[in-house]
Parts: sequence; structure tokens; C-alpha cells
Amino acid sequence: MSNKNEIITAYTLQQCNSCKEQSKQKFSDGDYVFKEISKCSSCDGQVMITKIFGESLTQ
Amino acid sequence: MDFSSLDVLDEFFGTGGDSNPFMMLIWFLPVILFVFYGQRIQLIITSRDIKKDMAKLEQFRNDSRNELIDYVKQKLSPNGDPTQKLDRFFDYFTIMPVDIDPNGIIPKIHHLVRSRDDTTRKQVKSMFSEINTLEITKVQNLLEIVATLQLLHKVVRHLFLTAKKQNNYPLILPLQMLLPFIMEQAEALKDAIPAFKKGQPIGDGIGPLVVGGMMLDTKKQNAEFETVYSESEFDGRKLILLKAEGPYATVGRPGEATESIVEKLKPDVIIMIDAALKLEGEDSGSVAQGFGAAIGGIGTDRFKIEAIATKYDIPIFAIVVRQSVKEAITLMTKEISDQAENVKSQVYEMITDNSNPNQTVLVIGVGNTLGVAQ
Repeated sequence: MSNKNEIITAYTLQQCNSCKEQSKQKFSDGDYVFKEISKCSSCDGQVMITKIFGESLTQ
Repeated sequence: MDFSSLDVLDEFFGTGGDSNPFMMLIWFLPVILFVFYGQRIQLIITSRDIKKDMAKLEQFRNDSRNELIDYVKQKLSPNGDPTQKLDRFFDYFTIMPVDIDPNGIIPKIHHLVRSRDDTTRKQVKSMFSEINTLEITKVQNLLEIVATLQLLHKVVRHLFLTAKKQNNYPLILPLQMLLPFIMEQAEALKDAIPAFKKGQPIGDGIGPLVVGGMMLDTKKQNAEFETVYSESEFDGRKLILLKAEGPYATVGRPGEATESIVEKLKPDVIIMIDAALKLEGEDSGSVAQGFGAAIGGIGTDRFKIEAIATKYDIPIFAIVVRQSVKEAITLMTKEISDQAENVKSQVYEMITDNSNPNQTVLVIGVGNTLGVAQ
């Protein structure tokens, strides 16, 4: 058990299935892995959430 | 009077070597005290620490209960006030079957666990006029968390009060030894609540995450309740991919699903991917390969998979991603999610190493698939 104050922020990693361009964004309600988000802005491929994970910041 | 020759130390503490009744009393009193009251003194000291942890446990129980009630009231618009009904759920207990004669106990445990699940689901459903599957599974999981915290608090309190009532120090020793582990589990449960409320993947979901990725662009079929499978191909082998139906907060029914798939499609090899508890000193997210059915829980699913694999002489291989109790039930860490690609490549390597072209391989992603679709 740690006495440090740990803040965990959830992120989603989105990736285009065509050009494989990735972007990392903060998690928003309704997100889940393999959810199709939108069309890719650069190649018109399908952007999908490939990961959701937490990163911690220790104060 | 001349006090110059008075040695205070010598007079009162007998440092000069002569026996001194006052000094003897000082030395013997603690000895007598500890001989007759030693255990009681230890009990008082230990009790103070246990009381602190008990207060923490009570706080965890109360906070999680309030969070669940608030979540149900504010997000799900129930029929009337759900507080009373939810409070009744937290106290639900399960009486395990008689094990004096253990023969045939697995089907009995399986029946009990399924009945409990089905009843809880019905009761949760009945609280709302309209609720989707994702929310039902989330509420079910949150209920389990609160009920477990309540049970931990009650058991610890019972052991503590019994020891105090009997003034029995040895009775409190097992509790003192177990308490750090109980607190670790309780803290993990408390920290799991936000992920379940928001529908975020948890560490235990690494198996479904890997298999879900392999299932993309395939036709998903219903294998069992809240369990899906699809067929795919790799290097001349036919793959059957099985996981719980995501993004619901469920582990599905991998035991029954494996039974029916093995009977129907006769795979030559079974590969299971699951999260496993790491030993102290091991790295989080480290991947290991092995043999046997990698699946946790009460044991009934593992029993079914082992039985059907034995019946048809199918080898079972396992890949596990090691993590702590807390990591397994809280929001998936980056270290664990980063292993998904590595595990997937190990699965493909395992398939080519252990099967021949034209053979069929069943790949099972075991774990809670919350926040992970397919």
C-alpha cells in the first residue's frame, strides 16, 4: 500500500486501418476497444479504437 | 549534616552490588506483569492496528455502496428507489454443496453459480423498465464488488470481536497475518469501481483483447450465453476464435462454449490466453507460455474444458500475461495493453509449432471483456 497520491488518466489509442496513422486521446464515455470512430482524415480509411489504457501520474 | 558522601544512585538502585529490595521490585514487576498479562498487552496493541484496518474496510464498503446507488439512481433511472433492493443484494450468500463425499460436486457447484448469476440478472433487470445488456452486466459486477467488500468487512469484524470477547490473543494472530492480504484485495476492489462504471477495459481483459483483435472482419456467431465465436484461417489451419461477448462486463460461459465447439468442430489443438497473477518480484505485463487450461474462477469452467480435452485427447496450451490482483480488476495499464501484439504473435507462433496445415485450432480469450468488442 502506497501513501503516494496516484492519479490515473484513461486514454484511447485510435488507429486508421488503412494508413495506420495513430492518435492518442483522453477516454470519453461510450468508448470501447474495436469501436469504429470515423473516416480517416488523410486516407479515407476507417479509424478504430485499438487500445484503452490508464497512465498514472504520481504526486 | 554532611551529604557529600551520599551516592544517590547507589542508595536507590544498588549499583554498589548489594541487594536492594526496591531494585528487585523494579526488575521483577515487568516480568510478573508480562508472565500473567503479556498476551492481553499484545492483544491491546494488535487490536489498535486491526481496528484501523477495519475502519478502512467499513469506509470502502460504505463508499462503494453509495457509489453504486448513486450510479443506478443518476444514470439508469430505476423504477422507484432501488436502495432497499440493492441493500438486500449485498447480503446475498451462497451455500456451497456438501463436500464430505466430493464425487459429483462440480455439476452441483456449477448449478449453484449459474442459478445465482441468473437470479441476480433477473433481479437487476426487474429494477428498470428499460436497460441494455451492457448496463446490466456493469451493475452485476458492481454488485459483486460491494457484496465482496461487505463480506470482507463482516468476516474481519467477526474474527476480531471473537478474539476480543474471549480475550484470546492466539485467536487474533491468523487475522493479523491475513489482514495485509485482505486489505490489498479490498483496495483493489475499491479501485475497480471507476473502470466498471465507465465501461473501461480491465487487466483481466487481455485475453479477450487479443482474441477480439483476431476476430475483426469475421462473422461472429453465438456460442453460448454472452459468448461468441468466429472462424478464420491462418497458414493453412482453420482457427476457431472464442471469447466473451464484448464490450459487456462479462466472462461469458467458456466452459459450455468449449464443450459445444469441441463436440461440433473437433479441434486438434486448444490455445488459451488469460491474465495470471504475478509472483512478487515478477514484472507486470510479462508473458509466459505453458500447458493446461488457463482459466480462473471457481473451477467449473476449467473442469469442463479439461474434461472435454481429455475425452478427445486434445492438447491444451496456455499463454498468460502476468499482473497483480489490483491490475487484473482495475483499468488496464499501458504495460499490459502494450503486450497485446506480442501475445498475438506468440499465439500464431504456437499455432504453427503445434499444428499441421489442414488442422483446426481453437483459440480462447479468457477473462472479463468489459470495454473490448470483437
